[in-house]
Amino acid sequence: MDAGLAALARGLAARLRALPGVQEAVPGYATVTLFYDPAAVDYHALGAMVTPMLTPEMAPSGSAVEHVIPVRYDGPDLQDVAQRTGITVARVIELHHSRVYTVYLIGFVPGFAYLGELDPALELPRRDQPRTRVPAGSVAIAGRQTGIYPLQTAGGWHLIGHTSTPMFDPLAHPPATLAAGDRVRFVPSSE
Amino acid sequence: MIEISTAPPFATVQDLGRFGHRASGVPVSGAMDPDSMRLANSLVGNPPDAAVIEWALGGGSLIFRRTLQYVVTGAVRAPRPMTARVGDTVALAPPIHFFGRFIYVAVEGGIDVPMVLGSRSTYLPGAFGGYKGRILRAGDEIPVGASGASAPTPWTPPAFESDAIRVIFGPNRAAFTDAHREQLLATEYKVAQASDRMGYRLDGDPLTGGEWGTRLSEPVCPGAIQITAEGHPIVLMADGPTVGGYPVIGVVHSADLGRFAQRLPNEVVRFVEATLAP
Repeated sequence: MDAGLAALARGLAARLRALPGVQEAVPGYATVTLFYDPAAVDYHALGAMVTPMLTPEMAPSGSAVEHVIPVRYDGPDLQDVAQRTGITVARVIELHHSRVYTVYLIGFVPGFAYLGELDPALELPRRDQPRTRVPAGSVAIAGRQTGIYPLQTAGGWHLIGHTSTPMFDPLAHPPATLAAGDRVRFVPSSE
Repeated sequence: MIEISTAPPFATVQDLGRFGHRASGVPVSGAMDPDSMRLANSLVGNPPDAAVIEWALGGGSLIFRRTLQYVVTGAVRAPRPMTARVGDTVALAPPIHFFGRFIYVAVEGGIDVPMVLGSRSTYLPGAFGGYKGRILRAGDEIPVGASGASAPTPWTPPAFESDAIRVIFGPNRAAFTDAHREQLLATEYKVAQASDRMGYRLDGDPLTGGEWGTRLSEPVCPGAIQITAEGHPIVLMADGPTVGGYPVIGVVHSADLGRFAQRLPNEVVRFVEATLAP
């Protein structure tokens, strides 16, 4: 995970969207994935247009919308996380909301944002047994990442809290509340 | 309007899919077998992307509240456009296993549910699109669009020389060796019971001699063949996630994905390499 590299990927994705035949350009941690119409442009012709754009001088993406998301820290795994990391629950909560996170990638389910980087003191592998049902709005951690489940789904991350801020609305434009490159701050809330 | 009189266990409204929202994590969805869907639309004079009912796992019946042409394609013996009159009840046989697992019901004018993010396709995990974001049930009244003027012009689905499914290797080339790619092509797989609109697991000898832990997630697409840590392939399908953490050894050629989607649990799958024309 490298914030600089991810920013380059976002900047590149924005420029690649303008190429003929390109339908979507999706930035990730260290990748840009292009979806194109093979009837409009073939793989090799598109490759010949993309290659010269991969220069060390690529401008990173400039946009950085900041979101403040209230979290009620009462997740079912909070005690377990404290126990396994050897710190108090209060410290887990403090470490989680004392950073500004970057959205690296949206996916897994609509609107799910992979946020990094989590404080190394909170780093844990995913749960051995994923839950079959994680409630929508659950705030969770795994590895050096944190995220919010936008809908009820299966999930293997550790649930430390809950937010009532909606993360996805299919009738909104864009439908996801967060976008790659956005910044996120969590604030403790009793809501 | 048509009414679902008896619903099969699994029927949803689908079109050719929802594009342009992958950056928000929205999967493409759409018909699992787009060729059969296009054929169905062509036989009733609809544009290729008109919404249809994708129907699986059983039979059922429809009541027509308007006189309409309709046709059933996919896992049927021979598609035949018919006219249903106002008040007619039309019984639909279950998909014929010999031909596949999905049938497609197209009606003249197309299924006219509201567009969500540019598509009428149902995405069940998100409970949006299609008819109220869910599978169809008895009693549902499905709106049908105005009949177009265009005469039916049967579309010819592509012909295939073999039963093998073409795969284009990549994008995670470096995670695999040529020996792994050869193993994939040499293995006779069977579609696993765990196969649905999200993805099809394949049973067969696992790929060996590699370490495939999870990696940083990156975008994936329908047809992507992920390899699990144990060496087993999972082919992502229409409702599959937009990003994944397993390495992707190759992608099923989009022209073969509908044919692959029609394979039932325990049916044999063999892959053959396709290359991108220079």
